[in-house]
Parts: sequence; C-alpha cells; structure tokens
Amino acid sequence: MAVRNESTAPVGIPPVAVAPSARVRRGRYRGMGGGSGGSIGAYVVVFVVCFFCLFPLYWMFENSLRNDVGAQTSITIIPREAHWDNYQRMWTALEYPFHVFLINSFVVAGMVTIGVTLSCAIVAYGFARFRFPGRDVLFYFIIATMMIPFAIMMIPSYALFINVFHWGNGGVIHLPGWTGVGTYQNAFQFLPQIVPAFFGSPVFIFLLRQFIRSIPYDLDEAAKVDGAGPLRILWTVIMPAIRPALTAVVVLNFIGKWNDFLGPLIFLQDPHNWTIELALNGFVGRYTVTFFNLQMAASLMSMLPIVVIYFFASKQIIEGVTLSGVKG
Amino acid sequence: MAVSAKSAKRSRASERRKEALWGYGFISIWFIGFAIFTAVPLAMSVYISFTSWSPIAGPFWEAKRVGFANYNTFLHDHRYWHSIINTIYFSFGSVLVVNLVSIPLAMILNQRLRGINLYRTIFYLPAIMPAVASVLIFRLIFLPGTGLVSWILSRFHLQCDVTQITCSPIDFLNDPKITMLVVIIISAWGVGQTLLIYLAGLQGIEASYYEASSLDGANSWQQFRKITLPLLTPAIFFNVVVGLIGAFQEFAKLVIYAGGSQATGGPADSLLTTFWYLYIVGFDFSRMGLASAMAFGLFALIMIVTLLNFWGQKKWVFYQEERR
Repeated sequence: MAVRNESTAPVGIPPVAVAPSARVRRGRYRGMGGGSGGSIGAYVVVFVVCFFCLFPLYWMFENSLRNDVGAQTSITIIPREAHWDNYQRMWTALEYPFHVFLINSFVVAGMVTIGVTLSCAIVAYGFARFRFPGRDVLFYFIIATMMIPFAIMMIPSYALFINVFHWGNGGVIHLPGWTGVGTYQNAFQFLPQIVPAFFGSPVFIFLLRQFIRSIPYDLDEAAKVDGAGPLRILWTVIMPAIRPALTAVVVLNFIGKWNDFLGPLIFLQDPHNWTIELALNGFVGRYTVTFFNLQMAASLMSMLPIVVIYFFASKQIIEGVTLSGVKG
Repeated sequence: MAVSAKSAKRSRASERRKEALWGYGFISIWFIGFAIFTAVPLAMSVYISFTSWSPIAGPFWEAKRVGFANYNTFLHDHRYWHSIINTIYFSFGSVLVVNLVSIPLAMILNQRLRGINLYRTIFYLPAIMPAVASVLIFRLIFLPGTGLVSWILSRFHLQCDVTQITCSPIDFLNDPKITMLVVIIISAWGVGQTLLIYLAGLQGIEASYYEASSLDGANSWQQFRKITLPLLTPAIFFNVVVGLIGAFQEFAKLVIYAGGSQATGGPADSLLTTFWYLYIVGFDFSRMGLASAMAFGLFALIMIVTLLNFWGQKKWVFYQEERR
C-alpha cells in the first residue's frame, strides 16, 4: 500500500479507480474467505459466462457463411454450407469498396491515437515532474472536466468546426491508383476528430501521471547531470520507463476511436470518408430485404482488427482499464 | 562566503522559476485545447440555445435570437418528456443489470481459479467490441421466429412453436413494449468493464480481515455482508456514477437496434432517449437552437443524478483509509 498517496486521487472519484498498487499485487488472488482454490460450482459459472461472451461471436461467423435467406429460414448451430463468397459480395456492396472504409478507420483511429498519446505524455510529465504554483488545483480542474457530458458539446462543436473552421467540406487529396482508394474530395471532414486529440485527454493524462510518479526520480537526476534538458529526459528516460502505460493508452485510444459511431456520424458526411462503423450502419438500412449474411460478414471485418490487437495487448489493456476506469 | 551563499540562493530561485516555466509550458497544451475545443463551444452552446439557428441557413452568429422560446418549446414537448422517461429507464436499467451481474462474477473470479487470466481476458472481450457490430449480432439472435432466442423460447414452451405457420412469435425487434428491455439485456454483454473495476476493488481488500473474522467463527455469508460488501462500496459507487453518465448518453446501441435509421425513435419511439432526440432535432430537423436548449435539459438531469449520487455516498460508501 506504500504507493498510495491520497493527494493523487482525483476530485470526487473514489480511490478504487486509482488502485495504484494493482500492478504490484497482480497474481495474488485471495479467496472470499481466505479459502484455497475455487469450487466446482465456480468453474461451472465461469465456463457458462465464457460461453455467453464468445457465442455471439461464433454466431456472427456462422451466419456470415449462410445463404441470403439462411437467417430467416432455418435454425442451425453448425453451418450446412459455407458461402465464402459472401465476403467478396460484402466487400463491394456499398458505393465504395470496403477497404476504403477500413483505411478511413485506420487513419482516424491512428491519428487520434498518436495525438492523444504524445500530448498526454507531455502534459502528464509536466504535472508529475515540475513544481509550480497552482499545480494541484490545475490538475483537479482537468479531472473535473471529465464530468462535462458530450451531450452539451455535440452541437457547439459542430458549429465551431463547420461555421468557424470550415471543416465541413473541401480538402482534396489524390491518392495514387495502386492504393485503390481514389480521391478524397472532402478530407477536411476528418479534422474535427483528429485535431482536438493533439491537446490531450483528461483520463489518459491522469493515467500517465500516475505512472510517471512511480518512476524513481534518480533516473531524471542522472540524465540531468549528463546535461539533458526536460524534453530529452521525457524522450529518453520517461517514455521508455512508462512503456506499459503508453501501450495501454495507445491501444485503448485506438480501440475507442475505431469503435466510435457518433463522432464519424456527425462529421464524416461524405460516404467516401465513412469509417467502418458508418459503413456497417449503411448496410442496415440499405436494402428492403435484409442480407443478414452480408451484415455479419461486414461486422466480422469491423471486429477483426480489434480482436487481433486485443490478442496481443490484453494484459496492458486490462491493467490500463483497472487503473483508470476508462473504457476502450 | 556570504556572497556565494546569496548567489547560490539566487541561482536556486532562478532554477525554481525555470522549473515552473517548463511545467506551465508542458501543461499549457491541454489548457489551450480546452479553451478552443471545450470552453469556447460551451459559451457558444449557451448562445445557440437562445437562437433559431439552422445550419442550412448560414452560420450561427447570423441566426435570429429568440430568447427563451427554445426552452419553452422543449419543456412543453411531450416527445421530449417521453424521451426523458426512456433515458431514465435505459440508464438505470442497464446500470442495475450490469452491476448485479458483475459483482457475483467478480467474486467468483477473485477465488483462486486456474486460468484466471484467460477468463478475465474472455470476460473483457465483449466490452471492447464495436457497438454497431455487436448490436447487429444481437438483432440476429433476437430475430423473431428463426432467431436463436425465439427458437429456445419455443423449445421450452414459453411461446408458440415457431415451426408452425400459425405462430406469431414475440417480436423482440418491433414490439415497443419490450425493445428497450432487450437493449438493456444486450448491454449486459459488455459487463467486462465494470467487472474489472470490481475485481480490482476485491483485490484491494486486505486478507487479514478475512483471517481475523474466520478466527472469530464468521461464515462466508457474514464475511460477505460485513467485510466484502462494505469495502466494495467505493467500487460500486464509481461504477454507478460512471455507468450512469455513460448510459445517459448512449446512442449507437439504441440507433442500431432500432434498425439503423437515426431519424426515427425506434418502434413507436420506444427507444428514443433524450440524447438521440436532440440529435434528431439538431441534425435531422436542423433546429440546432432547440437541440442546444434540450442538451442543457439533459445536462441538468445528468448533474442532478450525479450530485444525488455524491450526496448519497456519505450514507453508504465506506472508505477503508478513513478508519485507519
């Protein structure tokens, strides 16, 4: 418990969200009453829950291979026939080929991730390593702004980006033919989501500050003696030392933006700019007959990158979530 | 000697000033962003709520000022109040379901199970799945007639046999009486988020409490009532506050479950929450002024609920540190 420092707890957020020693304590799981091991009943419950977590994903895959009326006409668990060409059909079912939407999602999520990670690292470093008047008050202020709901920001943000910054349309970008993406007529529509990300985000500032504070100050001192300035120290000492936390920030941001529906819906009006979530939404109301098989194939494509990332970084994601209470 | 001490002091003071400048420089990044992308829009929002701004007609500063007309309009709009009731139904319902599921689950996971990391990974997986795709899957699972749920229900004779032509199965997708309930149940799939917080909370409880109480002859239920639950209250509080704020602004799940058309409110407006309604008013009806006013109505609701939460926490939230 030595790491816990009450002054680090944000305003109004109970210490559980801080759980600073979660890292230290990992791997020590106590029984409810200090008993040893779980009962058979516990395993049964856990397996049932695992089934409920994974089955919808299987169901999606199974349905993506059915024929066009498969979902409406038969009740089967194992696919009778596999229509792999559903994926091909899905790929070209909308105005633009599906990889355009995938690339758009990668661009938006990637840029947001770069922006948030860099800016939050710098701001967190400022709070964790420099003494200045009003530091704690300013920090609590940042945390308190998390309470501002997006509901009241949605319309004025739109007014700001469309009326003041004129990011509603324009910005032509020609891409070489081999990319298969074609021309972006309205690339500016991406900016309302990307630019604000470069100015930091409260939760991740909080998360990174916690981590930077846990690094011994001797490391900074040693670098300072060698003549390194603050930026050098940030880059060569702090950033490598908080790599696990940075991974969490990167992955959580990427997943969060990849999954975002409302932001793209408001700003990415041009179908060529659609992210994969919007493309999926486009599938739903597109035909009078619902092609559940194509919907499921497209859903699977939208989940695949997330599952792959999760496969490699689940440890950092879970630690980051436990520490900050943030959702991907 | 005196001179060098003085100069040392002076150099220390200048060093401190330099340190403060660096600090301010680094944190200013966030404050510049806050000023441009939060503070200015907030002020604009207040202004817009007193205008009849429509984005089609021109920029918001050219819109006509209409005083409190927008506030008057939405306060007398029965669709708005209907959406408020839906919002309360959805947010309290989903937060209740998610928390009721995740506390027992976290306690089970907190036992020394083999493969705990694997289970935790699997439990959290649904929470990071994109809302659009996951709701699409559940629309298929809840498909009336040949959907999985329909089929299981008829197998257990809880509804008519779906293989019979005369059967009209429960319409989970279109019956306005149950659509919201189904979306609440679907929300429980993303329980992993809440679960992780509870798990961390449980791991923060000192083992010595349990050891001491077992020495005194307490059984598992007494330990749960007197130790686990009280010490878990900070985690419960956190999950309820964060969960409610998030649920008040849920959008994607409801829109997609309603069939992907943002311009309606689901069958008979049964899924229309206030957040969605203000999206419709702003972006489909192009009445941004009215939507801004509505947003402040929703904001008031969120603030009231959050403040009630913080006010109520004194009565039931127990912090371990205070008693040491």
